[in-house]
Order: sequence, then structure tokens, then C-alpha cells
Amino acid sequence: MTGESLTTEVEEALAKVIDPETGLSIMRMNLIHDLEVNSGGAVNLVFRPSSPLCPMAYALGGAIKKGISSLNGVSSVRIRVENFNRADHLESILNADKTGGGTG
Amino acid sequence: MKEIVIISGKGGTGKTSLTGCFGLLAEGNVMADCDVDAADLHLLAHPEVWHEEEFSGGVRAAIDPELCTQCGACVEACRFNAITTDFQVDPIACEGCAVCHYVCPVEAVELHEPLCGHWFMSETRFGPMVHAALLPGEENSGRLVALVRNQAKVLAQERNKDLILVDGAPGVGCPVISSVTGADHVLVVTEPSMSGLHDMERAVQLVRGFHIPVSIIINKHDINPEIGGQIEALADSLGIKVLGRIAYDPSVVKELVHGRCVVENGETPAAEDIRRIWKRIQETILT
Repeated sequence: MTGESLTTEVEEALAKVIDPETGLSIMRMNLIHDLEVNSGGAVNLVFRPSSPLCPMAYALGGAIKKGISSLNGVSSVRIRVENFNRADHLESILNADKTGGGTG
Repeated sequence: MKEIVIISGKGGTGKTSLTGCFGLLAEGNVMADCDVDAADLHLLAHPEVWHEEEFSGGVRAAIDPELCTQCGACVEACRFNAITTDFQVDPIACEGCAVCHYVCPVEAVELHEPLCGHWFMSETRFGPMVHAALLPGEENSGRLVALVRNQAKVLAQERNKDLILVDGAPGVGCPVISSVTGADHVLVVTEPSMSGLHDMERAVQLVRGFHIPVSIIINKHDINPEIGGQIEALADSLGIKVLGRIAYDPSVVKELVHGRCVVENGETPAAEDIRRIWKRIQETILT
């Protein structure tokens, strides 16, 4: 699989993650930034919840991780969390391993 | 990018009129009308809608008469008396708790997402605006507010705008909480009346609960100097800045009935006060 097509697949997987508060996809809400997919299948992205107190941040973070990790060709997922009060804690859960983490 | 939310505690203090004035004075910011239960900023903004979407929030029950055996389990379980004697769901009374769906022995109760309202993206004379309108009697306005604020932010990012002005909802309920969480600054517009004082205090407590910087603007400050003094004393005791006072001015209403903002009408007392307050906002909040 080419890097470009994997990137498209990752974007499509992210577009399926719906924020239950707004009913919109997290891509439409512009919550994902700096998405990078390298040739070895390593995915890096920044997740910016819509508010520092977002009650859905843990669930959404977990859904992001799960959605991307399940794709063929993805070797690792690294998520940086910004604009969230407990960013460090959420990051530590999401980046614990490839598929685990999160509550979603 | 900064997001300033204008709320009031009490309704009718002039929050939306003031938001419209700030929208004009800010020149080219993004506006968000989060008073979705009774949206009216569009009356001043004169939007040209270029995007419209339906909004569905929560669920509502519906009974399939072909499957229903009229056993009464749903009637007994419903705490909202939403199921009529002929086994239909009253859409106004139904809160979407789904208990009828779970207790029905023949799976005759379906849950569906009802249309609750619409949201829009528009060009206005204030700049781009995201706004919405709930249908009469619909709920979940807090979720719609979250959507409107988010899309205003996305629009501001796309167009490189540095400021979002949000017309929040009155009161201290769910839509207000949804209006202010994560904002950079909240302006509470009040008036010198007992309810204005009381509701301002509640709104300030709410905003401070979220650790958001807050300031107060006293509209029609000269109609009751005694209560105006009490508002100032309360603000002082809470360590909150009174950003300014706006004089009672009949020209405000004269402009409103023509769909205009008072700052568009030259040098009236209220217009002068509002311009002074906007300058203070630029100097103290937007720097």
C-alpha cells in the first residue's frame, strides 16, 4: 500500500469518528491537525478537543486510536493532545501501545 | 484567535443589541449566534445563508401499531406520561429516555432521531456568521450551541480571522454552559433592576466556576442609580471589572426596529458609550 493511499484510509477512518455532542465528524470539526503517515505505516497526529474541558475527549481519543490502529498497513499510532486540561494523562493512555488505550 | 462570549443572566438586558454593535465595530470577525432557543442576531446581521443543515438531537420513541399488543408495559414504565391511552407516543412529552423501548416484550417501540432544528453559515454585514434555530418546543440546545461554536471556530481558522464574537444564551442553564466553556473571555451584560442584579450574580458565578475571565457591562445604567451602585459594589467585592456603562437612550430601540445597530446612528449617548467600551475591550482583552 502506498503512503498516499494509507493516508487517505486514515483520513476516512477519522471521518467516521463522530462527536456525539455535535453529531459531526471530528474531521469536519477540525479536531485533527498535523496528520502524518510515513512510508513504514507510522501515523502521527495532533488531537485538539473542542474545549479544554471537553467531556468527550477520552472517548474520542480512544475512538481515534482504535479506528486508525485497526487499518492494515498501520504500524504505530502516536497522538499528541493539545488544548485539553488533562492532555498529558490522555496522551499517556493513548500512546501506551498500538491498539490499546482510551475509553471509546 | 480569541473567542469572546456575551451573556446576560437575565434576558432582555441588551445582550444581542450590544453583540451586533461589537460585530460592526470589530470589522470582519466571525459571529456565532448561540442563543439558539430564541435566535435574533440575524435581525441585525441580515445574513445571506450559503450553507444550511438539519440538526437532530436525542431520540424519540415511536410505537409500531402492527406489533403492539397493548399490554401496557410502556405506559406503566414511562415517567413522563408520554404514551397515550391508544398507545401512541406524545412527541412533546417524550423525553427520549428509551425505557419503553427496553420494557416492550414484543419490540414494538422504535427509537428515532427527530429533526430538532437547523443551523446555517452565512455572510453578513458583520462578517461570516454561524447561527441556528431550534424548532418550537425542541430541546438539546446545549448540543446545538456546541456545534455552532465549533463551526464558527472552523470558519475563523479557514478565513484567518482573529476574533469570534459569540452571542450566548440568557440564563445559567445548559445552553449557557455550552456557550462559555473554553472561551477566552465572557462579558456579562446586565441592567440596574433587581432581577438584573440577581441574574448577573448567578451568571458570574457560573463563568467563574469554569475559571474563565469575566467582565461586566451595565446597560441603561442611569434608570436606577441605586441598583446600579449595588451592581458596581458587587462587582468590586468579587474583583470583577466593570468594563463600562451604557446610558438609557431611546435611539437604541429606534434603530433596532429598522434592523440597525445604535452605533450606526452617529453620536447618540448609547453609541458613544458602546464605542468607548469596545475600545476598552480592544485595549484590555484583545491585546
